[in-house]
Amino acid sequence: MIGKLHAVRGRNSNSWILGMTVAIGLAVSGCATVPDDPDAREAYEEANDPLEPMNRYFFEVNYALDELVLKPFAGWYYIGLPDFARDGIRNALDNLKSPVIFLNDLLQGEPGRAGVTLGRFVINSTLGIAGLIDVADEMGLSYHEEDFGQTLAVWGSGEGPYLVIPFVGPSNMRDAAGLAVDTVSDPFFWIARHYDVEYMLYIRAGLDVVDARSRNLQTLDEIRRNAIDYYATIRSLYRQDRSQLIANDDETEDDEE
Amino acid sequence: MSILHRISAGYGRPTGTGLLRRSFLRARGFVVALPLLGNAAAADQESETFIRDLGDSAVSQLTDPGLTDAERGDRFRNLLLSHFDVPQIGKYVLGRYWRSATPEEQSEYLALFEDYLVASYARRFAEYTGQEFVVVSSRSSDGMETVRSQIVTSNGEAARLDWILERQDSGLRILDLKVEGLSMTETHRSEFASVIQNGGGKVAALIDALRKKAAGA
Repeated sequence: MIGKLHAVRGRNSNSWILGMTVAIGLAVSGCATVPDDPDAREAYEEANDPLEPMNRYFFEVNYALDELVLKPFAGWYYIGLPDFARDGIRNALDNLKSPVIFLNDLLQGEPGRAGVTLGRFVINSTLGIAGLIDVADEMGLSYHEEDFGQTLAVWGSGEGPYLVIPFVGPSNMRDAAGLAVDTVSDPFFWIARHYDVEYMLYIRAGLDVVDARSRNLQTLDEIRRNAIDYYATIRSLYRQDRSQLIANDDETEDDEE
Repeated sequence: MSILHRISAGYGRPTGTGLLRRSFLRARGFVVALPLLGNAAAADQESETFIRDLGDSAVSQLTDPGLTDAERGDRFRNLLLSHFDVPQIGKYVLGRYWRSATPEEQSEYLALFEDYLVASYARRFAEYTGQEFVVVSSRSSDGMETVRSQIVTSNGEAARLDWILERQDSGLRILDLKVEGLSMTETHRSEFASVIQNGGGKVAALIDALRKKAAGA
């Protein structure tokens, strides 16, 4: 839920290693017991969450980090910047995702959507002034999202157990693997490393997270306020969201009707 | 990438990214074009009218800032019961545990589920700031009808709402609402199952939790 806090991971790699050690320790001891009762068993399987105790622990950790760090930042960002500036930043960040989206469009056997992504990238990087303005959208080339987790799903992979990743948020085995592949298949990752400007990656990741969070300040508060089990609510929302993304059943569905 | 993006899309994708703004413009095209299509889909038009009326009623009855919470809750409950099949939704949301619940638990659960919906959703209308509600299109399949609509704020942010309706003897009734494709009933069903599981597999655990929540805890 918190998004990709590469920045935190990068600057403080010792605590990251510590976190991973704790994670592995908890993973060993963090498995839920499989219930015997048939109803309970069915519910257990439906939840797809054998690591629930560990996941709940990291969910709380992420929630605390969100309250302490991310949410205040996102609040200032929201208040401090006018709409057009935030929208420009969002457009530019989305534009930078184009190579990864393009690659995954192709890997999913969707040349048409790959063409849209490529066209958007060329148009928005030039006419759209480094992606700040989504000119391509006005020309009928709407943004869509793809990632390697979705590609794996299209290739027939199951989702694997649900996972809450520290600093990252809701995921599952498949999407976590996808996230790793997306990171290294991003040409900007290698360009930044080549020119020794890796801090640019952290700025980008930090902005991405803060911007995304700033667009959900009220929504997440509202969901939390209404929830009886916030953890289970987010787990369900994540899963539904991923399945409609995989089916490409998002806003662009209008185009096909 | 993250669920944040998706939820954010629900409650305000920026105009600048244009995605929803464009579909909103197209949506307006739909609304304009509809009368031209004639009576090709009279049934669908009925469900669209049903949803449009619900939106109009909600705005006119629930958004007055002068209302007390109790008044708003009562009005919300009336609209809820006259437009949604709350018992059927409640039963679906309880899922497999409906069978294992005693008749007393079932009726207590349904009453509390209704209270919970009122307590959770009525107050959202207190924060109404002039968003526009637009019915976009509808389609039917398997005896169910889906009405697609959008809520558009004054600065152009849009959220997609899909209403799933069933035609019953008493007329149309809503069975589910999807916000940006995320189903309210699926989400509550999964949540409630978790509450029951963590409460030792007992429906009573959920009933307790609902009672606390409906009381505003």
